[in-house]
Amino acid sequence: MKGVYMLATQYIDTVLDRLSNVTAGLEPVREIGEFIAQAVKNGKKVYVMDRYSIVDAELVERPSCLMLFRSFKNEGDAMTTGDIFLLSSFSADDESDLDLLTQARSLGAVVITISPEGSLSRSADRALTNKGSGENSVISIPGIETRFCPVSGIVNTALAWALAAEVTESLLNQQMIPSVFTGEYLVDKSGKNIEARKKYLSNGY
Amino acid sequence: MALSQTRRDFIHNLSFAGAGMIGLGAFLQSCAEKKIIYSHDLARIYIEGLQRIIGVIREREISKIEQAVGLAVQAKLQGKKLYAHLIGSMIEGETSEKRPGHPNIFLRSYISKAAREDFVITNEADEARGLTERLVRVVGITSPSVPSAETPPGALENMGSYRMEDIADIVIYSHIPPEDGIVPVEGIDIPLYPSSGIIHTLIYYSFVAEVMEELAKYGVYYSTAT
Repeated sequence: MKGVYMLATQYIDTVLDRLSNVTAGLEPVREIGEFIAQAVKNGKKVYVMDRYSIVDAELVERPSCLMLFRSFKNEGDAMTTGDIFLLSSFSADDESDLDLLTQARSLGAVVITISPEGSLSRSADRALTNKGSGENSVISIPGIETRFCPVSGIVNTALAWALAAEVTESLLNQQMIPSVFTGEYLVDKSGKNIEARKKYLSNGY
Repeated sequence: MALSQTRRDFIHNLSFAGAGMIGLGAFLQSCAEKKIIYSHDLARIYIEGLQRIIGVIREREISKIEQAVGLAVQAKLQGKKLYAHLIGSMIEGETSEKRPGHPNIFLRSYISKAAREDFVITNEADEARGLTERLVRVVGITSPSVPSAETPPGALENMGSYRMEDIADIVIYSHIPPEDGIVPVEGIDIPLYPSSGIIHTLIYYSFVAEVMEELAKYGVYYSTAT
């Protein structure tokens, strides 16, 4: 075999490098986290969308996650003025994403994007840009023209979780303890989600 | 007590004062009265937690990834089928045949169809039960089920009937905690912000990168979604 697993480590090292970029740029994440927490405090809802079911599959109805994130695909019809539309994409300027943004804005939503810098981020009300991940795929080998093995999904998801963390901190600063999903498989946690759901439905967070 | 102190300082001072355990509600109220800002930097803790897990994978799991690559390449060169069954959160979108940058190496149909000497990579042990008895080559991605510092006794009590170690030829450990979340937050009784989606995706693409390169040496090329 070749010189010891070079591509696997190359991929892993690239991910580590991109995550360091996330850590270095947390200030806008903090600001947007505070903004979302304020909207939630004012009774607004937060809808998440990703055309490839990456970030929304992570943030919505997931154990260890806040209940306040809702699926735009499943519940977007209920969106009203002032709600938050969190749109994640690994493309800077895809027409389908721009259409989604326009659609959400027509419903009165505030649009926040997680994407590379480009038309999408410029059109958003607030944007988190996944610096250095615009290239999407990072592995190339002779004989195959197209690069493969994307890192953009991982980076966008890490940014989304960092954002969820900032929302949590901001809510706690306002004495609001957010409801969370618990893994029903965890010992002694059965039934926790019913209680948490009731609390979420009654206070909105 | 200075009004500009951080919450960490406040906890520190409390413990010295022998205040011991207090309820979160009272604690937050106290923070509000003293204008203490909650500043645990949870986002940074999360990203650094991910980096720590990835560092462990890089250190301990690369050789198993390479063994898995060997099984997959062997199966392909023998004309057998390669399957991937990866479930839960982002990894389903990440491994979709339409996902740009994803090489379409693996069949996504039910792995129960896998036959002798086919190859399967999965993160769901229950779905892969019985495959190795049929001489299917099985690679699993999971947390260790053997009690350890990573998996406390009883942590996986309700996690299905089968353990990956019992049904797979090679097990690549994800090194994520049983709760999945990796950031403890006061007042919330489970750690928040899951790691498994990102980590399973990382392991899968590390594996795919090597499979693509090895197969290319034998003139086997796969298209990548664009």
